[in-house]
Amino acid sequence: MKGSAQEKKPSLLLWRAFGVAAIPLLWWAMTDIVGVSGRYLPSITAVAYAWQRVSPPIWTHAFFTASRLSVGFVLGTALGIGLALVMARSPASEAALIPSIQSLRAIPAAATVPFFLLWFGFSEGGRYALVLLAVAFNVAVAAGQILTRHSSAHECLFKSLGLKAGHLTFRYCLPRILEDILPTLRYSMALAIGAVTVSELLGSQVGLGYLIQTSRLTFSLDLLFLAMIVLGALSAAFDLLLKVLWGVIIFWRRPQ
Amino acid sequence: MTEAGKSQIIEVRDLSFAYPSMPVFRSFSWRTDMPLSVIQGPSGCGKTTLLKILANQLNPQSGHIASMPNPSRLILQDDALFPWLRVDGNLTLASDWPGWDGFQEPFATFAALLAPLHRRYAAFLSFGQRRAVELLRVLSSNARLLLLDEPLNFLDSEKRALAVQCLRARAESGTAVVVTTHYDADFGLEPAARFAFGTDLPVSSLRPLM
Repeated sequence: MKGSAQEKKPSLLLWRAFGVAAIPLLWWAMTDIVGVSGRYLPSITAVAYAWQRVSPPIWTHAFFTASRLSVGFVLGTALGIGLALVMARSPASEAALIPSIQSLRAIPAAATVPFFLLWFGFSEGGRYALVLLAVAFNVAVAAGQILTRHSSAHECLFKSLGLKAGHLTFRYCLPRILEDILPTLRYSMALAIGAVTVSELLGSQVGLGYLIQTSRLTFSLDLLFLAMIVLGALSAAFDLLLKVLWGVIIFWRRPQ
Repeated sequence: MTEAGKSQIIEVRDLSFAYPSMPVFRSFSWRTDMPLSVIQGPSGCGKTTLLKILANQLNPQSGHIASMPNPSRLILQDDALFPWLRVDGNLTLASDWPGWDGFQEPFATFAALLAPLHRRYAAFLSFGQRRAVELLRVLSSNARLLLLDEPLNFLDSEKRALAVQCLRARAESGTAVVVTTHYDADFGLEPAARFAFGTDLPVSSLRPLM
């Protein structure tokens, strides 16, 4: 049958394989066929070699970046959702908090690095805090927005039972936020990866940001490419992890 | 509570209501002292809007409610259970929930049908089970006016018969009950308790079915 799942599957797999292979193929063609200079674009083999010679191993750098990202992201998400829950409690708390949250949300992570260096020095705390702030305010605004929208049936229920939605913190607000926050979290994850890289550019001894900084100082374009590829893979892995995790957390949306 | 609030009389005078560019009522008046009233009419004629106005959840552009028992409890056709809560959690949202053992007949029989589901998440109930839980929550309330939009939808015949029995029992015990339903025959009401929305579009009218 035309358009059946069986027929679609092989062609989808083919497209997916093409999507994965397209950039390496283009890269290989640019360096080995077109002949773009290694000064601008290192060859795949040069990057593979950089993988072998980097010390400590690339996995160590990736591990430190991933752990800073995880800690900062989890704390930032928790803080963001917590702020939204507080704002939902009363119009007064929302009025008091929203101007600061909106202002802080607009500050790019890179601009805050000097503050964190002054406050935390080169400690891990500063790096966590940088990621946390890149995530928290964005999540707070989105979560607050979610809590302004109720279905007509729920709106009717609240009025009928004389309940205030914002006061049902764990019975209504938190699950409602969790239901709809995933797109914001995925976007915030991208911001967090930028923030953790920036945090590792200064005063770090290990991590993919540190590797990028080192490669710039030693003119190692191959190492720079390697770090960015691993960063990209990390981003894809965290995005997938978020989607899987959300499928578990939002159990009531699972098909039965 | 006012004297009007203690009576079972429902009276609205000269109500006009319109959604943006869509009039629903114009100078609409209705009075009934029937303990159980059934409102019928085609889809989109304004039955739900009327229930929301009676529940004070929508304000008419003009006209007023002259007499209305209160407090009231309204349920819409759409399910209002929280899918992430268990049946127990959904029922205890209502401060007047008496507990599973707090019912007398015929409510006790209706509750007994649902009691085995008390630990189940609402998300994993069938449409009919969810509707029955929502009905139980509203039937167990202390409200003096129940406004129910298609309360019998999705119920199997056993639960439907029991639900009608319970609604009649509430009406007989002094609660005013207004129902919109396509299962009006189940209620076996005399014509004076049945009202029909006219289809004289664009503005609806309501009249007793005689």
